[in-house]
Amino acid sequence: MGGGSWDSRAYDDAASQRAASNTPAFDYSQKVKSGSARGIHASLDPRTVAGAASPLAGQVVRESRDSADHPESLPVIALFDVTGSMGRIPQVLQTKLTSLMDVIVAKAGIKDVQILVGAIGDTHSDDYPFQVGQFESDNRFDEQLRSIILEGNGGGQKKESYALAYRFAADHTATDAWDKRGKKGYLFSMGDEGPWPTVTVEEVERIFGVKAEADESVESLIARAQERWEIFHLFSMDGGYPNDRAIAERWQELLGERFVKVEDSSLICEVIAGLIHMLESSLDADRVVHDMGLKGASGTAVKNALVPVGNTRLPKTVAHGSVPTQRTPKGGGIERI
Amino acid sequence: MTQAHIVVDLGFGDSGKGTIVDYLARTTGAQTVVRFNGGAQAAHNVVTPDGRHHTFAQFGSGTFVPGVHTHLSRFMLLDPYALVPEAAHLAALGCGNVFARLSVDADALVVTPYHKAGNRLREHARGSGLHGSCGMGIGEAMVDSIAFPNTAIRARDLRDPAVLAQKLALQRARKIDEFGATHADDVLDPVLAAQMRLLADASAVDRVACDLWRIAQRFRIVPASYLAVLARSGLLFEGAQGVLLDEWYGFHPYTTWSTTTFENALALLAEAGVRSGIRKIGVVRSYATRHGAGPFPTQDALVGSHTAEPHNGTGRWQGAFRKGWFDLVLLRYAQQVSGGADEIALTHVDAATTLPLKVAVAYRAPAGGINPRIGIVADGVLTSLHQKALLTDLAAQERLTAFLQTARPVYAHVTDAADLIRHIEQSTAPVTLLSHGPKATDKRLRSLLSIAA
Repeated sequence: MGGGSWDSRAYDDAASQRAASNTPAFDYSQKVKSGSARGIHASLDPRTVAGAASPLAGQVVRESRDSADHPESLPVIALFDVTGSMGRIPQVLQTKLTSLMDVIVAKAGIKDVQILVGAIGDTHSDDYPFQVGQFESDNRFDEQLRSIILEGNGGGQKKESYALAYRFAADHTATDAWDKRGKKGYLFSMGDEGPWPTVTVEEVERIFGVKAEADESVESLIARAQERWEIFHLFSMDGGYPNDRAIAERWQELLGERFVKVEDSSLICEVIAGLIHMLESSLDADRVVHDMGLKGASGTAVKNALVPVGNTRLPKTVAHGSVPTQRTPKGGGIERI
Repeated sequence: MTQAHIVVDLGFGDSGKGTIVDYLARTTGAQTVVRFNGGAQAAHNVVTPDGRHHTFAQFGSGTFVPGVHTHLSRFMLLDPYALVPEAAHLAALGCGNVFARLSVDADALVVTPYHKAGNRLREHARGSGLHGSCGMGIGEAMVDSIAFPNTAIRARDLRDPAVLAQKLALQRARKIDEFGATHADDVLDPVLAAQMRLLADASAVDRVACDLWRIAQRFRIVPASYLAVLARSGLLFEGAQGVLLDEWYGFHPYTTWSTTTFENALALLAEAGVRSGIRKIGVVRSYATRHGAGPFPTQDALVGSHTAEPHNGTGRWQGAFRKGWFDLVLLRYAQQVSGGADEIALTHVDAATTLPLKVAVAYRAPAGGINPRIGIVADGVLTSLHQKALLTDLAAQERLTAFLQTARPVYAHVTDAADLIRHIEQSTAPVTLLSHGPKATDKRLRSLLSIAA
């Protein structure tokens, strides 16, 4: 004992860290609104290409890779609606999502989770309809989260550009989880409206900086994204349209039971961790909520979100006549049961 | 099946706990080292079989073993700044990104530069009355968290720079209230002047908040329940300091702000649902040591002249590293107040071959008699100290301190290491592990056969 062996240099090291990354970006959104900063934050630009060290150098792709410290990376994408109908919810999500990594690690027991955060707006009315960070193995995604511009527009048509999320997942991600282990990642979008029916060639070029062959329907994008991603839409019941049947029916048509109603947006991390835990463990919602140590009102709210997914998960797959698949725990592709 | 080992120092610290934890991490397969007391002032030296050396302060001493995690429980005081250079040194030794193997309980108390400034300015003002503080702000953070709970930063706050800035501003205001009268320019000492400048600079609050937030991005902040998850793959509890420095059972006021017995570890295990398979290991050196001021009845310069100390120096804030003869009276006391080790790991066994060994078996009763509350006196000698009835009775500890400061040991000569082990086992528990050096390969398990013999 006794000494403080690592103290004397600590300030210097912190100072050099500061010099490297300069001032914090806590209030980037504020800076853009006040005019002291302009444009999408560099760390969130969907057009960013993979660096020279990557096998996909030069391509518009976000990569989730294994490392010595995180040998079984599990990618999780969390994208939230930042349009006007959401009111104060984007600020709530921006604050709450900060602890998404901690909650998934601690509550769902997933050690090597990698998180990518981003924001979805409306290509028809927003200057920055799609902002997306990088996959991070630690809480550094928080920095990107805080750099998201909360525009608060949207055209009142009860539709947002959620389909960009599926275009992104299908065409602009690469994951070791899938490539090496045949393991799907998780994609969560959060919002209170329905998706525009297509992503156009013009939008792909404007947002991702690449050429698409043709306009593509949201159905087609979801189908392609689902090849590598478990897709959920978390519907904010405290948003602008909690009881709009047309919106709910549209999502149910697209995602079935994976359209999840969230009563309290501040429980977003718990709902996400609960869904991942439920799919990874095959436990029912009761057991998942118990495992996560959730009690009282928050326990009930999370359970309400989870129950429909848990109830329909296996029977639905069987009823539709397809063969349920189960992955072996240590990679090696897919094993049929 | 053993699910958890708890390693506690039965002396004043510096017994070689780190090397024992490293050995256990290599041999038991436990996947997580849990810190359950103290803070970044710990200095646990480990040398790998291929000669790499690191002084572990906050990362667990099992970190050299690939894949072994560190969990800092709520009983640990977290110093985020000090994590950075420690991780950098480990990286230079080939331990990649150790932050990826670190989790911190959301309730753990955070030590900030304002605590360190307060600590150092206070020690300086105290002048010659040093009580062995490390200057790391541990005590300062503890005292402040009790006196001003609204200014205390917990690990959970590290995710929110706004909360950090708010609490840091309150901490700064407290320290200015207390030390503000002196100006940095009036202080010649460069270290103290730096502390004064920190207090004077209002813009430092936001910078420190940003630093803490950014450093904390690199590790996980988890609820207490996470320990139950970690427990499934085996836990090693690494104690800091020593039982004789315990906040309640140490020799007041020469103590630390921390419970150094098995107690915190046992509480954490109970919460994690681990009720069986717990081995409590007490670590002792073949001679006595102590950092800084405070009673040390068997201190003798002769011991120092026969034993090398490559990793323990004189700290600016805690004074010299002192050595003396093995003290069975204090060992018996430590064994009693700590709740009792199940087995003993004896370190620096090699010293038994270079040192003309003797051990203190009792203290001579002073001429004027002795307060019966101190201990049992028979035939003019005191062989064991009493454990006080009430945990928080610090007056009792002050009586012990006063007695020990003038105590004259009665020595018995020991012929070799085996003789020393016999003495230790008569006073405590079986000696199951012998350490001849800082590497895991220098450890020897004592077979049950030799214990029986």
